[in-house]
Amino acid sequence: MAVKVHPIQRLMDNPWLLLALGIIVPFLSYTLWGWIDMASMPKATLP
Amino acid sequence: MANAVAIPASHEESEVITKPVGNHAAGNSRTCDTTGLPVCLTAQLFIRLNAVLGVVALLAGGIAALLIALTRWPAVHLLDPVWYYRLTTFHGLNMLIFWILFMEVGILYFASTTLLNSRLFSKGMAWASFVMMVAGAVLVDVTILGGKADVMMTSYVPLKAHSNFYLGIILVAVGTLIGVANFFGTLYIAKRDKTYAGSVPLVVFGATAAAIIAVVTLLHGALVMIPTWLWSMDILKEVDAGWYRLVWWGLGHQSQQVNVCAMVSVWYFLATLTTGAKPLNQAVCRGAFVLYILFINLASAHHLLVDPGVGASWKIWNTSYAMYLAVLASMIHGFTVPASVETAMRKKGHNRGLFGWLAAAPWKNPGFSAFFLSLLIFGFIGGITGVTLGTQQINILAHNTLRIPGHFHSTVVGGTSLAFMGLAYYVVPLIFKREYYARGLARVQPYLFAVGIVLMSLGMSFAGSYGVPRRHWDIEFTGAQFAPGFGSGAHVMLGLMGVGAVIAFVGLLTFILLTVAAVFFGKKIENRAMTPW
Amino acid sequence: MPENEEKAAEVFAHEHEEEEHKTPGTVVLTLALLISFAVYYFANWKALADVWHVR
Ligand code: HEM
Ligand SMILES: [Cu+2]
Repeated sequence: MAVKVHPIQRLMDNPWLLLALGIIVPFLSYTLWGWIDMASMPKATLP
Repeated sequence: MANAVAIPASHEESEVITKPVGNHAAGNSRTCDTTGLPVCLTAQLFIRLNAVLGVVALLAGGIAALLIALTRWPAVHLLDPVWYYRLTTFHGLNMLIFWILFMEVGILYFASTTLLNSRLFSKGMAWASFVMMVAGAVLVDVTILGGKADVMMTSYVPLKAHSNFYLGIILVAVGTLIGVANFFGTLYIAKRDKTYAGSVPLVVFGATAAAIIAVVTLLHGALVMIPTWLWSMDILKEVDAGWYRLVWWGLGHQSQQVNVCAMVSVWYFLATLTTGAKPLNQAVCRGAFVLYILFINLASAHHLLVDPGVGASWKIWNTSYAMYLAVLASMIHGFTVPASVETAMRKKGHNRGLFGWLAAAPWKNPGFSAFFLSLLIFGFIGGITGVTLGTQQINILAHNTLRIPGHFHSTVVGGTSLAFMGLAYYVVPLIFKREYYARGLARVQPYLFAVGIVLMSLGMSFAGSYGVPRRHWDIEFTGAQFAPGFGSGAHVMLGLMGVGAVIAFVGLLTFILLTVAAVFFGKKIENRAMTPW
Repeated sequence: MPENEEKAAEVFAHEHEEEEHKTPGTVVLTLALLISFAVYYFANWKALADVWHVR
């Protein structure tokens, strides 16, 4: 009979899922979004 | 796990264990005479190697620290400009990268083996990691001292160093990544071999958080350093300066979050070793580490608050809304760690008034004093200045002033480095099995270092509030057309910084001399517990 | 603290009964931290307002 484990406890007991989330969240929020901002910057008008 | 490790410390069981136990091969583990914890001998070897190299880097960076601090102190103004910038580059890399990373890989090996009662996943990987890290660090240092990489630790393009500088950093990063992979491998075999039951202990959980953040960090490092290395060899035409800054800070700042996680884990560890404190609420402490994993890395954006290439929404989301979840986590740790000490001390009967427990704490134990001073400096100075500087609007006041080094010397030096020093006062007797000499001096050392760093950090912060820039050789602008803008207030603060730096250097040198003396010449600890501090 | 160090191995094991805690000293420390933060943070906004006039 399986004991009910709280989902957050299950997350905390799963280093692989934490690893995946730990990579994805900052990559999307910081890196990818930052790249998008930079790519959508208009070209400088200086000579 | 509790029964697996609660082996009574006795003479018969203290030697190397000759039969296979747990997943340890025969003759490859021992039981610690002091704590009763199992020690994997392979891990022990690499913890020792990493600790020694870490201390070597600390010494190299420390000597440079004294010289550049005496240059920033206008009354002394020691070095010429070339050597000021060269040694500032050297200081940043040896301290922030080499000292810290060597220690952290050692901590990861320790947490995943001893605290999980497991063997280290792979000896070959540990060698590969160590050799690459050492080779990379030597390459970087030789290149800097040879005058081929005066680009500061951040090496912002289009400043260009010799390609060996970037190659060295890549080697260190990949070496560290292999060390981190070895940690995850150990987590995997420990679970597979059922060396523990249920969830991992809190210190291991904190180390896991550090390792996860390290992976993100090192991936960004590879992403930015490999193109820059190719560019330094003229294989790539150009590396965009804005792009470089974005990705570099994914390395530069996120590595600081590895430090925070490792430091908090060391706090919990030292709190237990020195006062018998137990984490008050496992779920809350672990939840705080999960917040770190998810949100702390976004804070890298605070380095780009005046950059034109990224928008205001990106800046505000990443440094405010989302990042405050990580600040919340720090506040949780900042509360639960001292609260666990208070609970433990009160249980022992130190109940007088509000702070009787604190007064009765083992302040003569350098493991405790280093840990608690680290907590206070990190929280009161590092935390307060950090959240303030990371506010987009306020950042404009402080950007590129000495307020920035003032802030991070209270986090990564007064916080992390001091905590790691406290750890050493246990690692040397427990892992190197050697006693410290001059124990009276060892008891004073954390105070010396803490006082020095606090003075230096405050001096830097207030000088920066007067507008004194960081990374600047001559704030008097000798011979310039315009009179210098810094009055006596700024000079007093720079003097305070200089005095603090000298005291901190003495504290740092004391730590190194005591530790080297203990490691190489200390009285051996065989078949007995360490002499309690 | 020798008597604690012998128990260290058990303490690192994760299972503990959750007990009652009273930690007034830590609460005071925490309040001191929050007040220091508020003062410093406010001073910085004030300094910003002094140099950066919004009209
Ligand atoms: C005795 C101890 C120390 C002293 C006296 C000291 C002093 C200094 C000084 C004077 C600067 C130059 C600030 C400037 O001119 O802009 C500096 C920069 C720096 N320090 Fe330290 N420091 C010490 C320890 C550490 C440690 C342990 C770390 C890291 C773990 C560290 C990390 C850094 C970094 C990253 C920089 C920035 C370098 C740059 O701007 O490129 N310091 N330190
Ligand atoms: Cu940062």
